[in-house]
Amino acid sequence: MNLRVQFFSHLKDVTGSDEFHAHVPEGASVADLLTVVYGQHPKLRSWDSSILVGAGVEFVDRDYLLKEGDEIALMPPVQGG
Amino acid sequence: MNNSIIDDARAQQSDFSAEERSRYSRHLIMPEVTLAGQKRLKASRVLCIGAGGLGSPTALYLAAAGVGTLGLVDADVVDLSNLQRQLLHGTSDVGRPKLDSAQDRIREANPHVEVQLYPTRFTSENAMQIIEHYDVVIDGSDNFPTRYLSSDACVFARKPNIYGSVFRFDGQATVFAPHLGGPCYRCLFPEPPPAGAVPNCAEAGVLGVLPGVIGMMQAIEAIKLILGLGDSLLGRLLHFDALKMKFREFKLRRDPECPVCGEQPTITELQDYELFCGATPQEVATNGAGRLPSISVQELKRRRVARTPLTLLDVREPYELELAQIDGAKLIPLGEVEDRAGEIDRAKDVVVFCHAGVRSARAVQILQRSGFTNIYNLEGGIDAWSEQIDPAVPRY
Repeated sequence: MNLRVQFFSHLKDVTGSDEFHAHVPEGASVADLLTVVYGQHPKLRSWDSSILVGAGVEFVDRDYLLKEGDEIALMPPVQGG
Repeated sequence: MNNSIIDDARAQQSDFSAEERSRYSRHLIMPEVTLAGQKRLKASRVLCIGAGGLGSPTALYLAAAGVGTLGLVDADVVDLSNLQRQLLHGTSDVGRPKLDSAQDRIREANPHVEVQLYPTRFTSENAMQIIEHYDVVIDGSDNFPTRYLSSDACVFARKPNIYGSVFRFDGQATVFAPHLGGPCYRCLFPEPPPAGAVPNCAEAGVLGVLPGVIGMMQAIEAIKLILGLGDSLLGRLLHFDALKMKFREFKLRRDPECPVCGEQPTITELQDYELFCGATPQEVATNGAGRLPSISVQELKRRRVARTPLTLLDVREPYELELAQIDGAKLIPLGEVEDRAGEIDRAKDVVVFCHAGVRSARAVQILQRSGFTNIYNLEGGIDAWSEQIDPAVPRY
């Protein structure tokens, strides 16, 4: 299935883009998707432990099973005020 | 039924003069507020951590709305570079403590507000004593250690923590309050990001209006909790993208295994948050791998005066050159340093600088991995050079 992955805040700088279209097999989990994303954007890998993954309107765990059409958001912590 | 966090007995104690009835008339005529609600606002005590980009709109609007007591914590002095977004402070306030100008501005907005000033950093030592006097805490801080501290302290004191943060054109807001059923900051981010990996406003920049939007959302959430109105952002993170002009929200869940608010907490008192988040830019860049070789701006000046051969490497972005530059420096932006290392004359000592010393620390690390041995980070960057050595170089 095809999924649209959006990068938020500083991750746009890290990847040099604001979104990524990923193709993953049916039944893939968030962890599987991240492997694909990191393959394309290796610099993201070091952020892994601080990235929140949004699927649709929820933040989800890495074992969440993706559904066709899920809008994926990758969000880093932000400190500025 | 009212879900206000201010109990009725306290709210009843507020008196209102004729002047106040006129001042708050646009609140008083709304059936959701009325005099009863305005009394709750007057009885309420709100603490703003930070009187900067987020704290400015939050404090100003809460004062105007009639919050009875506003506490402000900030140890900084007003700088010219604050004025593009921090509207509590004006041009004539540059150099004054932020809390002095904040107090003046708030008094002018609404003299009925009692303003409590804490001209200090918010620390593990003073956090609990300060927070205990307040009903709601607004996190308008600008760094991870204070964000973890403010969240943990609010969990321990059972106070709602209204969170906001900004980055360039993006902002986020939510309400953390495990005692009301929501998560805390640690449920989202159990561990801080690698120190220095996430730029702050000084490093990344921020659209001046953006903290206005987010700070006002924080103010609205505080007022809703005080009045017991509507659906709070408890359990939801609202993300605002000003470039796309889009809001997106995500449901948040409490983490039952959260070390602070979970079922079996392992952290039951405040910690050393600087240590938890990793301290200085130097330590950041080295990721704890030891101190980076560095020199001070005074030492750089001494070497330049003595005409000691050295290579001066500027790792800022090309658009920063027209803001300020140091003569004789070679520009290679941080993102290109690895690929263009061959262009750097390594026969001489190499001194690397950026705006404030964070990016250059990373560049030094990259170049060390590429085999550079005589390489040094300029502490404080071009900003320190301008401030301490050459005032002809503009600060930005």
